[in-house]
Order: sequence, then C-alpha cells, then structure tokens
Amino acid sequence: MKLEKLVAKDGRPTLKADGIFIYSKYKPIEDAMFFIKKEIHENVEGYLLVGLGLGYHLYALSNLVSSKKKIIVLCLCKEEIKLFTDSIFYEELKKYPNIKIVTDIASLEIELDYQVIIPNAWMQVMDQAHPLYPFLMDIKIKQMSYKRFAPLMNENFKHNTQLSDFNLPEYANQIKHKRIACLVSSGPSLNETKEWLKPINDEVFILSVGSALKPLLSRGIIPNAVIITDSQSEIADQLRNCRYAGQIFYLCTADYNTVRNYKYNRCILLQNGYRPAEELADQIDYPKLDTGGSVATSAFSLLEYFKFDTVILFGQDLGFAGKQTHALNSTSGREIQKLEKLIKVDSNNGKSIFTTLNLHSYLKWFEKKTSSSKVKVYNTALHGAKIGSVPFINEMQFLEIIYNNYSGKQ
Amino acid sequence: MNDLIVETIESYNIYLSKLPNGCLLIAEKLREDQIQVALNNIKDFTEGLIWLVDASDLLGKNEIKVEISIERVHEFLNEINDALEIQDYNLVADLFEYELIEFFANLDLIKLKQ
Repeated sequence: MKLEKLVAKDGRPTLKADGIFIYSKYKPIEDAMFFIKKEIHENVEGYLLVGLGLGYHLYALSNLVSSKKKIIVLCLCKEEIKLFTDSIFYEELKKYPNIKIVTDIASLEIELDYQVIIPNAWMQVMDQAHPLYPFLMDIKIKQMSYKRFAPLMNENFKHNTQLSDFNLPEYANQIKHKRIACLVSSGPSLNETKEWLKPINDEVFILSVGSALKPLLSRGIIPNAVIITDSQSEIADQLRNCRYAGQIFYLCTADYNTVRNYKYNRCILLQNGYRPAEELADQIDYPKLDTGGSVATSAFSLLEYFKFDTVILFGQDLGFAGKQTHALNSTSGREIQKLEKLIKVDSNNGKSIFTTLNLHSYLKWFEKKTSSSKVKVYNTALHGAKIGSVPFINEMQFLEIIYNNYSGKQ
Repeated sequence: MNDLIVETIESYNIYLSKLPNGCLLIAEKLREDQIQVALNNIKDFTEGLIWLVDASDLLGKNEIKVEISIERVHEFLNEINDALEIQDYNLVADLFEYELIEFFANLDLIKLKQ
C-alpha cells in the first residue's frame, strides 16, 4: 500500500492510499468527524476501527465516546504507525488508556458486542490477500446494505407482522416425511439444470427463490414453495402475472405490498440479526433463522429447519465465467460493470471464475454452513463457484440420489 | 416571448435553485458510505445537468442570455467521472460539496422580463 501525505485545501495534512483519498482533499478533519458521528452506535462495549492513517477517525471516535469504552485500531500496513506518530493528534491520543493500536492480527482481541467501523476508502485499498479482508468486506457490505434499507425494512416489518402468518412450525409438521429438497436459485446454470427437475417434480421438495419462479414455471415445473426476502418493491415482479398459487415464505422485512397482494398460503419468517424480529420471535416462541444476507442463504436455513436429510443446490452459481449473473427469464440478473471489484474463485469445473463481493460473501456463508451442517449438500452448477467440500453432481448422479431415496436405499 | 420559452425558463430556474441542495445530499451520502444511493443520485444529477446545458443552448439561440458556462460544466463532469473511475468517493464528495455547490449558487436565475 502506497501512502502519500498531502496538504489539504484548508492547510491541514490529508492522506492518499494507492491514489485514493482516505480523507477529504478540502477539510480532512471535519470529514472524518462527520463520518464517525453518523456511524457510531452508543450501546456497545467497544469499537474496532479499521485504518489508522493520520488518526483523524480515531480522534473523532475518542472524542465522541466514553473514555471507558475500548477502542482497538487495526492498521492495514506498518507505515501507518510512522504517519500517526507525526500526526497533530498523536500526543493527545497516546495518553488514552482505552486505545490500543494493533498491526498484527494475532494481537487483535475484540468482544462480540464491539462495533466494527470501516471507512469505505480503507476497504477499497486494503490488500485482498490480508487474512481479514473477506470478513471485513462481508461486514462492510452488510453494514452498507442495512444502512440503505433499514427504514424500508422497519416499515415492512411493522405491516407484515400484522398479517398473522406465524405458521412455520405447523408447516414443518406437514412436510416432515420428505427427505430430499432442491433449493432452486436463479444463477446461469439453471438454464440447463432446470430440465432435470421436470421428471421428478413430485418426488422431491422444491423450494424456489422468488427470482427463479418464472424460469421454473416456463418449463412446467411447479415448486412446493417460494421464498422472498427483499425489502424493495421490485420483487413484486417475481410473483406478478404468473400462475403460481402455492405456498410462499417471506422474511418479515420483505416488501409488504408484495406480501399483502399474495392471496394464497403465506408463512412469515423471523431472522437472527434484526433486533425487532429477534425480540418478537422470543416473545411468541417462534423459530428464528439465519439469513446470510441473501434469499438463497435464507432458503438454505429454512430447509435446515425443516430437517431435510439432503439438499441439492440448483442455480447456485455464486460466480460467472461470462458477464451475466442470472438465468434467462429470471426477474433478477444484470451485466457485470467494468468498475466492479471481482474476486477469483475455484469453480466446480476445475478452472477459475470470477465473483462479485456480494456473491463472495454468500459463498463464504455457504462454505461455513455446509461444513458444520448435518444436511448432505450437493451442487449442480458445473461452471459455478466451488462451495467448500460440497460435491458437484451431474444429471445421472442426481437421478441416482433420487432413485436411492425413493427405493429406500441410502 | 412564447409560452414554450417561458416554461423552459421557469423549469431552468426551478432546477437551478434546487441544485445546491442536491449536490449537498450527494456529498453527504458519499461521506456516509451510502455509495449506491449516491451513485443513483449522481446519475439523476448528470441527466438534469445535461438538460440544463441543452436548455441554455436553446434559450441562447432565442436571444435569452444564460450565464452558465458550458465549458466549466464539462470540466466538472470530467473531474467527477475521473474520480468515479478510480472509485475515489471522498474526492467525488469534495467536488460536489466544495466546487459544484458554489458554482451553482453563484449562477443567476434568468429574469423573465427579457
């Protein structure tokens, strides 16, 4: 990382890292204060601040929070220490006993209820080979997403919870005889693999994410259930103008109008990590699910709750060789823009493919989940990302699994 | 002065007077790391600015004096574009907050008595 100290327009020092401004070119100290003021939560035990630089974010944080709260600062490169010791705030900040600066992650100790503060500029210049990069990037993506959608999520939660669709345990009882589930997402591999589902539609439990519904229906495949999670109104397209009248599962923060307008069987899901949902679930003794940040990861959690022996992933590409992100006819899908940060990952076909930061976050979630879950998981996305030790299966192997289950063999 | 010109002048003035606040909003969203929201706003801003430039060009051809410097607008758009290309959102925020707000705030509205 190349650090470059400059003079800002207001005469104060400012900083560039790898050609990008870490602080404002005009008013660096005010800019850092503005960011920290908007970012901090007060009801936490401490803070992990990523990036030291000239100490401006640290100065702002130490001035805004109680001196009893621990502040750990993670330097992303050792040169930051020299910069900091030359900083105008160094002499003041070095006296605070609650501040600890670490350059080595081995000496990083934080508690679960610390707030992680990551100025986006540091995230952009952080070395992708840094061991903490995927974790911090995952946290940052989720923080930015929550910040953007929190008001919408709260509004949806308020209305959805009044619909009284709290019937998850009852539904679980109805399907407990089924052993194999197919989780259908709308990655590009679904273009081919959805054909596998048609002959065995009635033999397995098919849970489709909302954006995969229309591709399935276009081939005459009717899923047993559909799951929707997005808080934005665009998801209405997923259920609109299609002849689906089956079960839907919806996250309590999903778009209220889409949910309300669906007149057939509905079931609400309450998620971990969203406080109002956690509190309500505890209050009414209702199951809580891990969402993982995407509809597919939420779907997997749901299938785990239903205690399926086996889950077969369809359309779970989590990456792409070409430029398209989703299957044809899906309501989702876009072209990858040249400015997007892409990460190289291993593919089930033995080669490498690219994935976006978001998809990489979901890939890591699946890897972690599948490594500890009791569920046997298989993947059908030949050109998709390899998910940990989840084996790839072709059509013959898929049919063999179904046949073995049907005939009682395992 | 025909109705179309009057309407165009009114729209021009309304849009111009809203621009400083719009620029501030973009800067704030960038500084709060609400990048996607800011980028959507920048897209709208750019389209509006192009309209403003086109309107000023047409008004000029109808002998209505418009103060906006098209060259300066192009310079700003190029600087913003260069900063976006390298994803230097702090710099983009600075451009909106410390350059563009002042630029638009100093432009006079078109007087309808012309």
